[in-house]
Amino acid sequence: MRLEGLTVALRPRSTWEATDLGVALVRRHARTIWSAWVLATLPVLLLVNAFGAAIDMVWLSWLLIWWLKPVFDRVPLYVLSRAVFGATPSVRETLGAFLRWGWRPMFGWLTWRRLHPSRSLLLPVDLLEGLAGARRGERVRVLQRSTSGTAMLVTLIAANMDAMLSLSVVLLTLMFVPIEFFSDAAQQVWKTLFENPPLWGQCLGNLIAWFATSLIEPFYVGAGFGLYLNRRTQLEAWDVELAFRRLAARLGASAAALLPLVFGALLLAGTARAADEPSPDKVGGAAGETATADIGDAPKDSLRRIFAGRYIDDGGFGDSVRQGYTDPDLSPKSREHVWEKRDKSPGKTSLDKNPSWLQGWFEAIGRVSSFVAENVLWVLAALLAFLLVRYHRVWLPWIGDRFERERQPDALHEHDIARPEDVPADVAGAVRALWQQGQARAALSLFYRAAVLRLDEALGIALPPGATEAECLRRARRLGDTDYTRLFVRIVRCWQAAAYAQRLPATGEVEELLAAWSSTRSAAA
Amino acid sequence: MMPRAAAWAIDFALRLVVVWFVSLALAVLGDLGIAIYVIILFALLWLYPVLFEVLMDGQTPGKRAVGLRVVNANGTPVGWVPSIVRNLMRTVDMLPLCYGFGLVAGFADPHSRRFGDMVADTLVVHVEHHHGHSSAPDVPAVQSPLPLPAGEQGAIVAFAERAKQLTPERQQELANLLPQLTQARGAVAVQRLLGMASSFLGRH
Repeated sequence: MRLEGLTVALRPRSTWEATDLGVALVRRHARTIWSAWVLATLPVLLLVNAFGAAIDMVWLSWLLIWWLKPVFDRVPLYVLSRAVFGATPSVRETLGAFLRWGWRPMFGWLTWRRLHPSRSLLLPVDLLEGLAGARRGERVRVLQRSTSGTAMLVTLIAANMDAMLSLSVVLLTLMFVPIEFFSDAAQQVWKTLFENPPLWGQCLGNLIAWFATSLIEPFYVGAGFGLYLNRRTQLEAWDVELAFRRLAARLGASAAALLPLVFGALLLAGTARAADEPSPDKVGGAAGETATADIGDAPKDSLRRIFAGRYIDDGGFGDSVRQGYTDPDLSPKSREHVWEKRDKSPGKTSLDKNPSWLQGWFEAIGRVSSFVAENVLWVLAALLAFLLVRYHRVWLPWIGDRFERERQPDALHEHDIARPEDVPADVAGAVRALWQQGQARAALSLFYRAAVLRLDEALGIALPPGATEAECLRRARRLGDTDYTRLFVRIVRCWQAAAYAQRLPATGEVEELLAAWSSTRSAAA
Repeated sequence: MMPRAAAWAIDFALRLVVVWFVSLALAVLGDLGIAIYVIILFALLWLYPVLFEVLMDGQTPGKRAVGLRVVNANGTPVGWVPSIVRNLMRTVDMLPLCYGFGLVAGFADPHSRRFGDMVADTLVVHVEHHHGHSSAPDVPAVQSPLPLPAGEQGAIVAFAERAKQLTPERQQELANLLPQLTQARGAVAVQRLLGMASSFLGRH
C-alpha cells in the first residue's frame, strides 16, 4: 500500500461525509465500474432467468440475483480499492478479478452473513485485508465501533432507493400514456407485472429490478468503501502520515541543498562583517533618492511610502484586486427591462367620459364615506387613549412606576413575644386558668411566649424581635435532641394550628403539654 | 446522496408525526377541521423546507441532524428566492411519484444536485463539524529545531490531537518518519513531537 499514490484528499470526516466521498469516487470511475458491472452481471441475469423460465419459477431467478449481490459487489470494490491508490484497473482486469479475486470470503457472505446490515462496510475488510478467525472479529469490532450505525442506515437507504427506482421505472412508462387511456393502461401494467404476470411480464419485472440494482448497488458499495477508508484514516492517521512524509521529504531535500550554503556562509562571515558596516548608509541613501521620486502623491500610510525604496510593485496584487472587483458577487450588476408608454401626453380616462350627474353622485358618496370613516377612526383613537389611561397599570406597568410616588410600606408593629414581665412565674397555672376561662388563644399565646422565653434561657441568647415561629424552631434545633426541644416543637405546632388555622387542641392535649412543661422544668432545675 | 436521503427521511417522519397529531386534534371539528387540516398539510409540504432553510441557516431539522446545509452555489447563505425555487422544483424531482428523477439526477451530478438545486443554483454541503478528538496532550513544550510553516505545524498538532486514538506502535511508526525534527526514534520521538505540538499551540 503506497499512501503517496492516494488520489483523494484524506482528513477525518464525519461518517455521512465519508459515504459521499465513496459516492464521488464511484462517480469518478463510473465508466470502468459500470462497463465491468454490465459485462459481469448481464450474462448471469440471462442465465438465471433462462433457468427460471425453464423450471417455470421466474420469481426464483429474481431471488437468486438479489442473493448474489455480494458476489457482484466485488466489481465496484475492486475498481475503487485500486483506483484510490492511483492504479485504476482496466475493464478487462476488473472482469478477470470478478472471475478470480476474493472468492474465499464469499462463502460466508452468501450464507450466514448475507443479511448483515453493515455489509458495505465489512466487505472491504474481508476482501482487502483477508483476515480470518479471531483477528477478523477484533478488526471488525474496531472498525464498526463508531461507524456501524451509519453503515446500517446506508444499507436501509440503499434498499429503499432500489425499490423506489424499480417503481419509478414502472411509473415512468405510465407517465407517457395519454390521460384518456390512463386507467386502462394502469390496469394493464398491474396485470402484466403484479397480479397474474405472463412469463414475459415476470422476466420484464426481473429486468427492471436488475436495472435498479445496477444503478444503486455500486453507489452502495462506494458509500461503504468511503466509510471504511474514513475509519482507517481515523484509526491510523493516514493523513498525518502523508503530511509527515511530505515534511520529511522537504527537510531532506532542503538539508542537502543548504549544507554547502551554510559552510560558505560560515567562511565568509568574518570578512563580510567588516565590509558590511558602511554599506547600509549607502543603500539607504540610494533608496532615499528613488523614494522621493517614487512616492509622489501617495497617501501617508501607504505601503509605497512606508517601505520607500524597498517597495517592489510587481503588479500581481493590483491584478488580483481588479479581478476581485469584477466578481459579480462583489459588484452586482443587473439589467432591468421596464415597459414605458410611447405616447407621454395625458389621455382622457374613461371616468371623464361619464355623465356629470353620475360623477357628482360618486363624489357625494365618497365624501360621506370618508367623513364616516374619519370619525370612526377618531372615535377608535379616543377609545384607545381612554383604555390606555384606564388600564395603563395592567398593560404598561412601567409607566406607573415613573409617575406615581412610591407607596410607603405600612409600619410594622412588632410585639415582643417574649418579654419576661408579661410572663407570670407559674406559667402552667396561668395557662390552665386562661384555658378554663375559654380564652384558648390567649392561653396558647402565653404558653408559646413562655416556651420561647425558656428557649432563650436555655440557649443563653435572646431571639431578635419579630422572630417568626420558623425561626424559633430553627433556634431550638441548636439545643440538640433534648426533651425540651421536642416539647418546644409540640408547643409551637399547637400554637400555629390555633393561631393560623383556627384549630384548637383538645383539653387533654393541653394538659399533657402542661404536665410535660412542669416535668421538664423540674428536671432542668 | 445517502445523507440527503437520510435527512429527507427524518424530515418526512417529523412531518408525519405532526400531521398525525394535528389530524387527531382536528377530527372533532368536522368539515372545518378538514379545511384546516388541508391548509396545514399544504404548509408542511411547501413552507416547511423553505422556512427552515431560510430562517435556520440552510438547515431543516433533518439536515441539521445529519450535518447538511443548503447554500448558494457561490457559498453564500441561501435566500428566499433560491430556496423557494429549489423546493418548488421538487415537483420535478418527485416525478414518477417517488423521487426517481431526483435520485438519478443526484447520483449522476458531480455535485449531487437534484434538478431543484440545478435550477436554483444551490448546493447541499456538509457542515464542518468538530471531530470529537480531544485537544493535544498537555506536555511540556519542546522547541522545534527548525522553523516550520503553518501547514506543517498543523500536521504535527493534528498528530498530537489524534495520538490518543492511535495505538502506541502506530504513534511511533509515524514519529519515526521525522528523524530530522525529533533526532530520536520510538517513544522518545513521540514525546518530542507532542512537545513541539504544545509549543506550536503556545503552551509553555
